[in-house]
Amino acid sequence: MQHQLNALYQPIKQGLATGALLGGLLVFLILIGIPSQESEQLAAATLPLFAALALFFGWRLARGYTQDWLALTINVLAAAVLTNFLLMSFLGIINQMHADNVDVVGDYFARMSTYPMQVLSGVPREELHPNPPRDPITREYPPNTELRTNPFQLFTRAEYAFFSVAGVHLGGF
Amino acid sequence: MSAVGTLLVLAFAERVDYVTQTNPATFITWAQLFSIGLVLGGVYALIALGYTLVYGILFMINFAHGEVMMLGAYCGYFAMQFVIMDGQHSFEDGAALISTIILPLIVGVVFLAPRRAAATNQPNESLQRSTIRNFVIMPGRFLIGLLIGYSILVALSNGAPHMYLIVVTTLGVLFVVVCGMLFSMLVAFLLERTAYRPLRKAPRLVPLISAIGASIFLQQVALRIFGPGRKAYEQPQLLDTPPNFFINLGTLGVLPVNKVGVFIVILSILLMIMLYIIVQRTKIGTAMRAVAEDKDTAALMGINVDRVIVFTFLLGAALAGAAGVMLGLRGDDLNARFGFTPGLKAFTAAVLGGIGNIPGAMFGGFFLGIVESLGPQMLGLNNDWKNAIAFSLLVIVIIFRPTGILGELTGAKKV
Repeated sequence: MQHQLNALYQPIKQGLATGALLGGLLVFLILIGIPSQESEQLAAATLPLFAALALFFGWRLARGYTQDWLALTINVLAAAVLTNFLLMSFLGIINQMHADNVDVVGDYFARMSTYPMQVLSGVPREELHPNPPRDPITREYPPNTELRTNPFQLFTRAEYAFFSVAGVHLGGF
Repeated sequence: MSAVGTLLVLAFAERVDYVTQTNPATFITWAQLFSIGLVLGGVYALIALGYTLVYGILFMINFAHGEVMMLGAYCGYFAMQFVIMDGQHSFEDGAALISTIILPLIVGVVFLAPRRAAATNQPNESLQRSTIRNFVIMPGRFLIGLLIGYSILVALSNGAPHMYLIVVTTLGVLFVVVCGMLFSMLVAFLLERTAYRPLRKAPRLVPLISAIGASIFLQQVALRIFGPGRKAYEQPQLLDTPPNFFINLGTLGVLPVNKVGVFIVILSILLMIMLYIIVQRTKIGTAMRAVAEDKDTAALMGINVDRVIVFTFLLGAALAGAAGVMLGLRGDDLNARFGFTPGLKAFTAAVLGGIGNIPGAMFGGFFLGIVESLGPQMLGLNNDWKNAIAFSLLVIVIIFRPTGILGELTGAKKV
């Protein structure tokens, strides 16, 4: 039993390491603005570039497993799950910030390429911007403005708090 | 050489005497400058410890250490923005939300500790009993701890609002500091793996060049990702509006004290104590000292040298990350070159104290901070001369005492 578990553990560990590396690399590329979205053609290279990187990492993994297909499958699955988790968490955070009216590109990541978000997270391109500020009194958005429809909801929010004390919201995701 | 040194000291004393005679400053002015120096010194000492730890183990100057600090400071900035966003544009509200998770977790872990200690005293415990302990009692104790932590917060918020504000602000700021430390550790880990480990067997100049390259790379990456604009930490309400409180010194006057400064000095001293405990009292600390003495013999004794080196990098980076967040809290603006000058100053501090020597780095940091703060006033110069004074001091110390002020210890004991 322990031997079988050990046999599973090694490919999972290697797959997670590869997944972390690939996920980190893709997030890094998005942050430094590669591929550039200065032209449609360059932006369209996003998916091929990311797919090529994933293929390269997959090829590197497969080199060590010429016979053991089960181990290779587990390895690749672990890598894919972690890469997707990292990438989607990152995209989720950015989308959440947009939904909270934060101009992510203007305020924080000056060169970030927003095009991969459309390709990878499915948020329409016309929604890759922060919502306009709400009216401070009514807390309503200005009329006739296009609002985002598909933001990820990842973080603690005051409206979901367990209870509020002295204007401070306690607990809750 | 000693004659030249004596002449220098005499010239310095003469200049100080002339300045204090012609333009006497009050005791309060000196005390204020001294307190600013202490704050700066605490930060320099934390960064200098990173240089000295790595040098003690690898005999290499990690010139990318300042950039590791800069990235930690950026991460702290984002953590602070996250807290503020979480609290709908209020740091205190966000910190309260986060505290409802952090404080119960801390109390829960504290409740686990006595059970663990008791468990170690029962070597003949039956399997059934240990299973019950592991799956029922331990989670139970943890849950009770969680509830007690949460109850403490609720009780404080109802009964002692000011204390509640202090607790949640402290936890919020500590969350920011820990985020900065963790990110710096991640960067240092990657740096060690990619830029230094492959060059472990190379001549000593090669990793040095690699470190300079890594430093430039990290600066350019930060410039590319965060842009050329400056970013500033937002001050929590409790630490805001300096000077925050006053100490009455009777006939000498009233000394204004900055709360951020007090926080920085206390936190840096606590971190140094923690470092001392890790290095002197733990197994990994013993391994670090063994590797610093002789890598090959340590490896023969069963110590995993690579793991110890990674741990050393992580330890230094954690301190640098905390220092970066402290500089941000002090009001310094963040940009891609944020780590360059403090990094260089901390390197100076490490050399002043005697590089490779932990107490030396602590002493050097505080010494440099205080000299930098008091120096311009003592010599009757503009404050812009502080960098010139700091680096002149380095040159003088290197000329007259190349091993640093506490450098003699390094021969017998490196870490």
